[in-house]
Amino acid sequence: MRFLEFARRNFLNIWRDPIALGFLIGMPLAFMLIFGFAFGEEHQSKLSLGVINQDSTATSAGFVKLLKNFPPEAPSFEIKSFDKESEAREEVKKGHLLGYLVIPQGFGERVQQTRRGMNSRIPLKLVYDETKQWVVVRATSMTRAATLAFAGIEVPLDFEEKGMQINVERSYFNFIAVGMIIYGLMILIPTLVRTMTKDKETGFLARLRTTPMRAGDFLLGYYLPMALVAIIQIIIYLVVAFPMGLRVVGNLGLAFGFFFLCGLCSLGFGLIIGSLARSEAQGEPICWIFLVPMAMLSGAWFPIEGMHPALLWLAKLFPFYYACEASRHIISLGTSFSMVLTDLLILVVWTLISFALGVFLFQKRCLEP
Amino acid sequence: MSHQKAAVETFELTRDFNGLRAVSKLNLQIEQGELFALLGPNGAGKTTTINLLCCLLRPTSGTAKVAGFDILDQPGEVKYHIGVSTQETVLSEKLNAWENLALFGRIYGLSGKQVRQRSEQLLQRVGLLERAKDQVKKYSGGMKRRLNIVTALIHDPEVLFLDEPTLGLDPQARRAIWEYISDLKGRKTILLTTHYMEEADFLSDRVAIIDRGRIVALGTPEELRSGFIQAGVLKVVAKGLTGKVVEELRSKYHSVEEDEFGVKIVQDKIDLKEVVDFLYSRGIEVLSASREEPTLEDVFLHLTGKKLRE
Repeated sequence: MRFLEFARRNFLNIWRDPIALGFLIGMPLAFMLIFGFAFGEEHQSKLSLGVINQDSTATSAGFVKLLKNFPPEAPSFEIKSFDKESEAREEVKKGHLLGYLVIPQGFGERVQQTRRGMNSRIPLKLVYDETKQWVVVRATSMTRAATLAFAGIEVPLDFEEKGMQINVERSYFNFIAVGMIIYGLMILIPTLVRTMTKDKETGFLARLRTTPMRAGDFLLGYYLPMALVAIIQIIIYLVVAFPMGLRVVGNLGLAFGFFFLCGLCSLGFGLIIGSLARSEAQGEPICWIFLVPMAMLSGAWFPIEGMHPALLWLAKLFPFYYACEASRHIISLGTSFSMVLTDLLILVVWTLISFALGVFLFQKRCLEP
Repeated sequence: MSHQKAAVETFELTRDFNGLRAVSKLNLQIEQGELFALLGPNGAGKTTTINLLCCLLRPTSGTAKVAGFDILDQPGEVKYHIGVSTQETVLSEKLNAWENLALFGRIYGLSGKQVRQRSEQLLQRVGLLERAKDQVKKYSGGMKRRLNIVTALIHDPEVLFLDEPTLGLDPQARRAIWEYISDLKGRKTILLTTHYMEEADFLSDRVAIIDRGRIVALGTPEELRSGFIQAGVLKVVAKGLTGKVVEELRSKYHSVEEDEFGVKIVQDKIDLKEVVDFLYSRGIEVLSASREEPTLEDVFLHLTGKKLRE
C-alpha cells in the first residue's frame, strides 16, 4: 500500500520534529493553561439577564431601557426582554442567560409613590442559575444602583432571589477549553500546508511524481497521518483540560466526534491551501490570514453572540462555528445527539467539500505535468 | 518489458516555457546499457530534458520513448521502468536510510523482504550500511547524494536518470560517486546530466553537448576531442596583458579565454607565431606559448563561445 508508506513517512516527519509538535500541541495547551488559571473561577464583564416586564407602564419600560445601558460608560447588563417567565427560564437552561429579573405589576406606581416621599417597597424577583451565586451579588447591586439613578432617590427594593437548579456546567474554563481544542485543531491547517509546501520546495513531490504514485496515494499519505495527529491532539487536550477544571455534562464521545470532524475540516482547508501555495513562504501567511479570522469568527476565543450580525452571518458560513457551538452545547449543557444533528451534517458536508476541493486543486496544481 | 534496442529515444522533443524554448527538437537515441551524458552549462536544457523523459513535464511538441514506452501515452509504464536521482537530494531527513529506501521500495510494490534485501545490497555497495540507522539529517552531503542515487535503484529500474549527481560535492565525494556510477555501467541504461566536463569524460560512453536546448555536438568523448583536433588550443603566458589587448584578441580569434596568467585561444589552424607577434607589437611580454591537447571544455568553448560553468 503506497499511501500507507507515504503516510508513515509523513507521520514520522512530524513525530520527529519537536518544533512542529510543540507548535501543534504546545501552543493551544499553553493557551488553555493560561485561560485555565485566569478563568478557572467565573468572571464575566457583562451579565446576560432576561427581563420580564409584567408592569406595562411607561415607568417600567423606561426602567428596562435604562437597565440596558447602565451605567452608560460601561454597561453591566446584556438585557433580553421576554413576555413569559417560562421563555426566559428556557434560555437560562440553555446557558444563554445567567438569570432573569421579573418586574411585577405595580412597579411604576410604587416608584412614583417613592418619588412623592411615600415609604413604598418594591418587590423584584431574580431567578438565576444556582451554580452562579455571584450573579446574585452583581445583579442586585447593579439593579439597586440603576433604580437610584432612575428614580432620583433610593428606592427600597425587596429582592426575591431564587436559585435555579440546572444540570449544566458553564464555567468560563469550559467555554475556553472547547475553544482551545477547536483552535488547536485549526492549527492542523498550517502544519499540513508546511508539509506539502516543503515537499514542493525540496523537490520531494517532484521526485515522487517520477514514481508510480497516484493522486490517491499522495492525498491519503498527507491526510491520514494528520488525522491521527488530530486524534492524539484531542486526547492530549482533554487529558490536560480535565484536571484544569473541564466538566463534561453530555456525551464525551459525541463531543470527540465533533472535534474530530473539525480536525478533518481543517485538513481539507490545509489541502486546499497546500495545493495552491507554491512555497512555504507563500503558504504560511495564507494560512494565518485564513486562520486568525476563522478562530475569531468561530467563537473559539470569545463569545460571538454580541458580534455584528453581518459577521455572525459570515461565521455561520464556515464549519468551525458549528464545531464550537455543538461541542460546547454537548460538553456544558448535555445537549443530545438529535439536537446537534444539523451541526453534524454541516460539518460532514464541509469535510467532504473541503477534501474534494483539495483533491481537485492538488491534481490540477501539483500532479499534472 | 521493452524489446527495442534503444532504451531512450526522443523524436523532435521540444519544450517551451512562456515563449522561451528550453528544449528544441531534440532527437536522441540511447542504447540499452549505455551511459550517456548531457553536458552543458546551467540553463542549457539538461534538467528540462530529464523532466520530460520522466513525465514530470509535458512536451510542447514531439515525444519520446523510455524503455519502449511513450511518455505521452504510457506515463504510468514509463514510471515503473525508470529510476530518478534528482539534482536536489530529496530525502526525508528525519528518516533513516532504511526508512527512506523502504518508502521508495514500497512505492514500487516491493515486499518487505525484498526491500530489506535490496536495501542491504545497495547500502553495502555505497558504504552506508554502518550508518543506515542514523537519521539522514546527520549525513554529510556526499552520503546524502549516495543515498539519493540508491533510492532510484531500489526497484532495479531499466533506465536510470542522474541529474547532476555530484553537484556541489568535494572532489573526494565526487570520486566516490563516480566509482559507484562506473560500477553500474553496462548493467543499466544511464542518462546523466552534468556541467562538469571531467565527469562526462570519465563516466560516459557517449556525450551530447547541449546549449540553449539544442545538441551542438554528439559522440564519444574521444570522438569529440579527435573531431576537434584540427582546431588548435594555444596557451599563452604573458606579462602586462591589458583588457584592451584581450578584446583585440577576441575580435581576431573565435574563442579567447583569459585567466590570471595569460590567455587560452581556441581556433582552427592557429598560427603560434602570429599570436606572439601580435602581442609583442602591443608591448606585451610573452613568457611562454604552447599548444595543448583539446579537452571537452575546449570543445564546448569552441562550439558555443562560452565556458561550461558560465
